[in-house]
Amino acid sequence: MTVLRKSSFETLPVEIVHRIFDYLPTETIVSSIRYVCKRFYSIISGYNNYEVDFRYMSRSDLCSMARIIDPKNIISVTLSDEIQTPGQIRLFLTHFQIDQFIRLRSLTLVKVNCKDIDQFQKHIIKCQLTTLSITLCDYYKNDPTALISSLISHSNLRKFEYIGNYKILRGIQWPIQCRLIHVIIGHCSFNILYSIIFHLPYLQTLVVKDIFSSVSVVTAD
Amino acid sequence: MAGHKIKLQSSDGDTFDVEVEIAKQSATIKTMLEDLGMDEEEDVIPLPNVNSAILKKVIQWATHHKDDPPPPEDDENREKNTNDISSWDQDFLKVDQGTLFELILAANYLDIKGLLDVTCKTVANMIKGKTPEEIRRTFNIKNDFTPQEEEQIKKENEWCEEK
Repeated sequence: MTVLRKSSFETLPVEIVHRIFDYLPTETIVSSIRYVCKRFYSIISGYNNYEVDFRYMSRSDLCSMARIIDPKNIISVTLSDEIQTPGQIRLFLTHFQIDQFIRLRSLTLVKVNCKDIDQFQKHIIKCQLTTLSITLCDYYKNDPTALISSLISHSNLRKFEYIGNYKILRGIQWPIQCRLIHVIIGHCSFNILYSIIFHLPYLQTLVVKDIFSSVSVVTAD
Repeated sequence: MAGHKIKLQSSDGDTFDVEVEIAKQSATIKTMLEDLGMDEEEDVIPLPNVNSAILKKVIQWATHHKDDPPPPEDDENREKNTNDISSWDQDFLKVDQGTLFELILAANYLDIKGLLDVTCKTVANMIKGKTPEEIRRTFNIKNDFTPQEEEQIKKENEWCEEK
C-alpha cells in the first residue's frame, strides 16, 4: 500500500528545516526566509543555532540582527575591525549585551583592541565558550598578555587561535592542566613552540603558520 | 560473515535484499539488528515510512558509500561549508524536488547521517543568495502574509537607530 504524500520544503518537519538552516548564512535566514511565508516566519523564531559572521555585514545589518535575533539563540559570533568594517566590534558591544549570549560556544575577534577584549573577557569567564580565535590589532597601548592568559584559563576552552605579536605568547601563563586540544598560532619561535607542547597535555593538533628560530641554529655534528 | 544479507520491506510491500554492512549505515536498522537480535536471514525488517522508489535510492546511496569512514559524532563542529558535495552525490541528487524531500525524510527516519547531511546541504544550496520571491518560486510556496503583515516584518528588519 502506498501512502500518498506530497513532500515539499514547506511540509518538512521543523527539526529538518532547522538542520537546513545550519548550512545557511544568518543573513539568508533573517532577510530572505523570514519573508517567504508564515510557517517559515514562525519556524525561525524557534531556531537557536545561529552562527553569525558579521565580517561582511554593513552597520545597518548589524543593527537589524540585534533587533531580530535573541542573543541566547546565537552559538557563534565572528566580528572584525578590518579595514572593510572599522569599529565593528565597538558597534557590536553597543547594540548587543554580551552577557545575554548565554549559549555562545565560539567567538572570533579579528583586529581586536585590548579594551574590547577586556569587555568580552568578563563575559567569557561565565559562558561555555569552547572555541576562541583572536587576531590582535597591530597597535595597542597596554600589554594584553595578562588578558590573554586570563582568556585561555577558561576550563571549557578546547580550541584557541592566536594571530598577533609572538612576544605575547612568550609571556603567557598557560593554566595548569590546560585542556586545550587544538591550537593555531600565527607566528612564533621554536622556544614558544616547545613551551606550548610542554604546557598542554591534551593537545591533539597544533598549527603554526610561520615559525622562526630565535637563536642561531647550531648543529651537533 | 561477509555478504550476509537481510530483507528490507518498503511501504508498498516490496522486499529488498541488502548486505547487512550496507544496511547498518542506517542507525535505525543497526539498532534493530543489535538490540532486537534480528539477524536471522528469514527476518524481514518493515519500513512503513519509506516507499519502494525511495528505498531503492537509499540503498543505492548506501551501497556507494559503504566504505566511507563513519561521520563525526559531534554536531557542534559541523562544517557550514556546502561546497564539499562529491560529484557522485551531486549526480545522485539530480532528482525532482518531491524525491529530494522524500529522501530527506527517509534519511531522517532511517537515521543515515551522511545522507541527511548531503541532502540538507543540497537544499541549502538551492536557497543561498535568493530573495524571498525567488525562494517561493523555487519551492512553489505561496506567500500567505497579508500586505499589512509583510509591512510589519519589513519594519522589524529595517528600523535601526544608528548610534
